[in-house]
Amino acid sequence: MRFFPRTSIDFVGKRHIWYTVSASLILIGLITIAIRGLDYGIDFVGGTELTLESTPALQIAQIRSALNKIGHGDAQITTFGAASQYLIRVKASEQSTNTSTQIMDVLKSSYPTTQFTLLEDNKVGPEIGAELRRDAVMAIFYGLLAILVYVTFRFQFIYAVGAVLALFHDVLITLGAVAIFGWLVPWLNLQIDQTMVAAFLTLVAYSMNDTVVIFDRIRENLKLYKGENLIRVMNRSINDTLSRTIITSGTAFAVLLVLLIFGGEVTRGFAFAMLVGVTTGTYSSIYVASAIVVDYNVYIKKVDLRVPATQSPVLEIERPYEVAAKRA
Amino acid sequence: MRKNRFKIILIVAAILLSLYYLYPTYESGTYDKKLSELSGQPKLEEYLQAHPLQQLSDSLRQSEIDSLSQAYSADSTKYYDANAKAITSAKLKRIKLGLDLQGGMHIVLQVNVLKMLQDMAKNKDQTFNKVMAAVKQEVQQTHADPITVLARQFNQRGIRLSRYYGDIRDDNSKVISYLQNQANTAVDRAMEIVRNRVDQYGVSEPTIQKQGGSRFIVELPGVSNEAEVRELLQSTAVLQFKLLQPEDVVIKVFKSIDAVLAGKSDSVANADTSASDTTMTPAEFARKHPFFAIVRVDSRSGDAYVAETDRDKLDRVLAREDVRHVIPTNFEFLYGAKPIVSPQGEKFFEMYVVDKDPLLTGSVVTNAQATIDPTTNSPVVDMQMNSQGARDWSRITGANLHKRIAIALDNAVYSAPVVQSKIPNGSSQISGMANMDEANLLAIVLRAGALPAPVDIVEERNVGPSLGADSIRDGLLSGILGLSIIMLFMGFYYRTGGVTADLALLLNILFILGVLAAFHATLTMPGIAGMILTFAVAVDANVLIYERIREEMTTGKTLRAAIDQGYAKAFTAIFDANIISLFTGAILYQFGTGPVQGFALTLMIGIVASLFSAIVITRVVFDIMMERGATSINFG
Repeated sequence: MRFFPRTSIDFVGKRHIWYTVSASLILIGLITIAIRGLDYGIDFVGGTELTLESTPALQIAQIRSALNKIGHGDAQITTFGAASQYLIRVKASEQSTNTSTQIMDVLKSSYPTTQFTLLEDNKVGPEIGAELRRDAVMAIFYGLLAILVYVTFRFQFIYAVGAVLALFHDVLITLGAVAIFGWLVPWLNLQIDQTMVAAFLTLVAYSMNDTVVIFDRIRENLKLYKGENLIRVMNRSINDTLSRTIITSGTAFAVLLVLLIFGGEVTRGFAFAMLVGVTTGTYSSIYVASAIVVDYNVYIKKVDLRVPATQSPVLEIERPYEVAAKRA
Repeated sequence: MRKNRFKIILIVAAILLSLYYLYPTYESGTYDKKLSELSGQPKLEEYLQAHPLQQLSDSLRQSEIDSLSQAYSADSTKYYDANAKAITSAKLKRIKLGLDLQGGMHIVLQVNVLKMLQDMAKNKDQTFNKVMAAVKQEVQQTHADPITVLARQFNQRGIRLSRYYGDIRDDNSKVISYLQNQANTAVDRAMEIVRNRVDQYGVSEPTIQKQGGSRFIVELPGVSNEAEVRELLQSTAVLQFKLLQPEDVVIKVFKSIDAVLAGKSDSVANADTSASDTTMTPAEFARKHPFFAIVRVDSRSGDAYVAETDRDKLDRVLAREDVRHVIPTNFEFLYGAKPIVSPQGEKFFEMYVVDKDPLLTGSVVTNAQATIDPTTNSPVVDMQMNSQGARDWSRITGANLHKRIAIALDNAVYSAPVVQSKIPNGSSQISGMANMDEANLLAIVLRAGALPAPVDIVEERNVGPSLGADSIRDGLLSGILGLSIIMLFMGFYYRTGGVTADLALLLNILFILGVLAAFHATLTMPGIAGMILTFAVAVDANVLIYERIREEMTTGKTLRAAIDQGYAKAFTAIFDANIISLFTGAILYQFGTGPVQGFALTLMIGIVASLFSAIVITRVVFDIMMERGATSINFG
């Protein structure tokens, strides 16, 4: 059975349209970030965060009015998962050593008939937050550097540039999606914390994985068809790997969707970021990483890559074994 | 077969090793199950349902529940004792569950050098406090090294550091290097103190681990009482010697407090207050002498005691504005570290009224050991002090002959010996311990508290047990679901090839778990997420190979040639892609902390294991199939 029989789609020819699409998506994300800001978890800014459950459920306003009594009326309060679960976040500048105990106490005394259970409680000092932030930035920086060096070593420098730009593209789009969806869909529990950084590094690895598979086929086909038009070879290579690309992305997508829906609070943000990342990672291998290699040749090296009207933009089946197969 | 002999041996060895390393995890699980069956916890809950203990006070109810659960758990205790060795060894070798999966507290503590400098100062006069305030402000603003700042601030004012630290004859550089040394070793002392306390607290499998130069991590699985843990860890371990206030003055103050509480003016507080007064009923006594109803004073020794249940009440009373008025400012109320149990089973704490300013801090103590005094044949503690301390100690003991000096660690009094004679050489002997255990404890306290090592909680994560259980359930559910989707799809799309890949995937999981167990790694929720992701990436290798094999087969190649070519051509892509993922995993592991590291570790193990199973195992399976005479293998 085959979902994708041999295709001949002119991917590279339409790259300029997709540049616009990518740029718009990134811009929308950046504008949202500029206006709304990113929702940093306490991992990076410090603070106290507690998750609690109440039976029966309370209104957020009721919780806020109780917190007001101890001067935490401006705390961030959201429902978390079930309607009776709440996430309360107090800024680092306002936390004391036992903020969470104080909050539990004031809730219990304000609503004596309600039962409160503390599910989770985290406190991060501001200095630790700054350190974790620095470590996260370092991790991403070194990750990208390692990729740049390895791809240069295995392919060519321009391929490495294309791959790394594709990664930037993926990270920016995902970051924008996290900002937008975190704002519109609080259920997703999207905040920039350590798990989210792990998600970003994983999506970087995934996107890289996808790009390398296509690059590998380009490398192979360029050797097979020396002197052939790069656009035609590239299109052929992308089409050759299309079936694999879609099957792998599809299974990864399905698994992440399961994780998003059934994985629970802890991994929800992770699964969401990865879902966006797998999608853009797959797309960017074609329309960013490969496209940049083409445009480098067109605009910097001034190679004439226009495909004559007589030729198909996709290099057609010309492999010796395929010819043999036809004959047989 | 012969061609693949080495590979087959490798595969079988990997499977056997994984099973070997995973067996203790299985064993430990069986023991846990057996123990919880025997523990009678459900029976206890049933009993409690039927007999609510609501009429009892909180503390009484708790003790009632404790004794009941002890009775119900007799079987499990017996079973545990019989198999203790096997259970502990299995526990040590099993895959540990992270705090996010089993609930518990994760705390990062950092030595507070500023506070340490403050605590270490010999005499805190006005000048010192002024300089210290300036140092504090500067450090908070610039995050500079507190000791450097301190040295400069003192220099600017032309004050020698030795006025407050070290030996008076020491020059500044010597004091600075001494302070630096203390700051550097403070984290080790603090860890030792915390370890000691955590052990006393009785947590199973605590982890105490150094992180960098001035921090350490404490992980307490299954613990959720935050306030208690915070007190346990953060109360700065400071050993102090404090002079007890004279008995007659103390009694006078007690009477004044009593009068305030009873609503009388303190000038007429002369009523007979001895607890032996039998002419009044307890209620009447409590009304007339509310303070002495809480604090019981032994009329012969003059020692004061407070019941464990009354401690909170007493603290509240002592904090009252009107009560504070009648307490001299240099008074401090301390409790004994260990309760005294009355014949009725009630717990009492001795209350020590001491001079607020310590005579000496434990920083002068250089060593302490518990020994048996050969002449009296009773346990004693020998304590040595440095030369400065010895001089001070000589003056102090000389001035306070026959008075009592309390030895307090974190303001909990461990002992309050009477000064028998002037101690000239800094070598003291403390006697009066009931047994060797008590003497050992005092020696530990003297040593651990000898040098201050105040710590701040800079990070605290507390996962409730119910959330941990939820996480396990969610993780298992999504793992099994995700795995099933992949396996069904592979089998459906690539037929025989897909089923082979599924087999490889299952072995892959076995290998990942086996490696985790072999490394004594901790499985966390992000770790499970990493594993689920590995499944997705693991099939990618097989997808790449099978797509290539299909391509080759369309050319009419023989099965063997198609498979050979498929594996060979797909290999470079698989190799490059996975090397990069491995890099990313390693970088994540290097820079990440806690949960991220767990994720990175499973990801890296997963990549290696999946490469092995996706490339080597499936290939061996196909080779065997062909050797058995298969002329076609269905790749969909």
